[in-house]
Amino acid sequence: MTRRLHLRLLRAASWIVPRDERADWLAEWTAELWYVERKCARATDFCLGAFRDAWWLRRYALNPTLRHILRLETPRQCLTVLTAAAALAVFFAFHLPGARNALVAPPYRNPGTLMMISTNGNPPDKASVTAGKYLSLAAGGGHWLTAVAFYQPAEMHVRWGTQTVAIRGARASDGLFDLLGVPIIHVPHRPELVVTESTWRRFGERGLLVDGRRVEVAAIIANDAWRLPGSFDAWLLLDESGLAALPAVPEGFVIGRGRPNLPDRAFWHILIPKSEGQFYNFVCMRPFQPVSVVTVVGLIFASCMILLGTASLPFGNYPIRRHFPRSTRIRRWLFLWVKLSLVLVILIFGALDQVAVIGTPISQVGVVVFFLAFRWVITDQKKRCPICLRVLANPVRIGRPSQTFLEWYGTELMCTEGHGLLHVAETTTSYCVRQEWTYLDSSWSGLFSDAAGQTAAR
Amino acid sequence: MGEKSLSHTAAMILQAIGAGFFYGFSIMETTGLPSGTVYPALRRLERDGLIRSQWEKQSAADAALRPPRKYYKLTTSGAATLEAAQERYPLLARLIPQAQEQDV
Repeated sequence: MTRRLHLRLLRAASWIVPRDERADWLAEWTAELWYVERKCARATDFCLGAFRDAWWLRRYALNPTLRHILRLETPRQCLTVLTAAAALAVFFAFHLPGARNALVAPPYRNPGTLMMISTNGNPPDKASVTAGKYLSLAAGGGHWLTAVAFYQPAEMHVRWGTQTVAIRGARASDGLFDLLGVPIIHVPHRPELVVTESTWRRFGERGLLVDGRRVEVAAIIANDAWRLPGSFDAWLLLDESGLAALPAVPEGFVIGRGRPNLPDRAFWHILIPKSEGQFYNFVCMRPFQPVSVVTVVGLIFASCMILLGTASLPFGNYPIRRHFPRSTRIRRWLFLWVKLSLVLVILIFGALDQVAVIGTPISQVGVVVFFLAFRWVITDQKKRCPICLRVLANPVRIGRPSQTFLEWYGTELMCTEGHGLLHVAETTTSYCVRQEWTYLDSSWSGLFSDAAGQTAAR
Repeated sequence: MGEKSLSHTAAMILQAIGAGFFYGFSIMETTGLPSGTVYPALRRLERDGLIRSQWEKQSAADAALRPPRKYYKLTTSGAATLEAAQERYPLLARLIPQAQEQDV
């Protein structure tokens, strides 16, 4: 039974090993297990060590440059990776519609009172409302909404000269742009078309033949003015009778403007009678909610509080040496603050990206993520050389727990550039409260002359 | 060829191999180091050309009624590095003396 468990552990670890080395690796560990089981009772510990070995092989299988970058060994690598991550988070925040709406106010009148409305339990950014349901809501939703509008994605074919061009279109209720507060000039007795700037430049005519009907361009809006779900080149505005004639499929989107006295809730339900004892259940959600500074500050504060209570914040004892200029110490602190700033950028913009992609608001999980990120900033700083800011290497365990009353025991790490040694005590004692740094003078430089040797020793 | 600086752990493992402890478990037993330290260190030493590995023949293992072992041997470069490490860590040789009997 126990042997089977051990073999399963080894097999599980073997999945971490690169495929071409897996069989050989598993054969070696299985063979070694045979001896361990006969010699001692700590076979489970032995098998757990296999995960470390497997992980090492997996890491080594990576491209050497990538491996070094992922270790964030040098300060330059660390800041480059963090800057790239921050740039990506900012880029996505300004390009994902949900995140962008939280950062940049949309060009609509009172965007805070606008609401996306869905049905059948669908998220508001998914087309889920038929034109028929929309007309029921428009007729019976006046208690909650001052106005509602509908749009249904549909490919449109524009006759242009001798050829027909397909564009991304939407059939919309004629009040859509009035509801949003985008000014358009209504044209009597003719279907109206609202187009984007680029579509206008493409065709350049007021009168167009769309799906076999003559329509008039009533307004041109900026290319980035549309911030609601869907991506369109033109909107064909239809009156109530035109909407009633629309097919039930594909379904469309409904946007509404809530009454000012509505409670400030993230979402709520509107029930509209359908038939005797039956209702349409509409879910309303505000699409344009600016970033709450209070929420962000609250997250940072809460995670800092957890950090204060759970982590050791002092960086350790680093004796000030005359031959190390003040600029070296300033550089170390500057590195910490730049790292912290970049992590904050990643966290805040990453949270916006997460809201845009997953759709769930920043919650208690956010506090844990902030806390872990801040904790990483501190632990990363602690395991770096104070002179060159490289990650320390060669961890060596020194002493035994039985030495506690005679001498310290713990781990000793070294700077591969030969700047010094870091002593990290296993348990805090009155004579060893924090980690201690020992500078090595130039007489040690002979040990660190061979760069290849440093790699071998890591 | 330049000598390579070794951590104390790597030097101990190299000394164990040099002393005649040729496979993973015997190195673990001799050095007292855990499996999670010994095996990755063996991979590093092999990657750096200080040791090389070879599976023993199945017939030899069958004759001894045990699974085949993967043996590690010092390369010329490894032997030179061990010599340098012994000079740097004089206690190494006393910590891990020559193996009396190689089998378990």
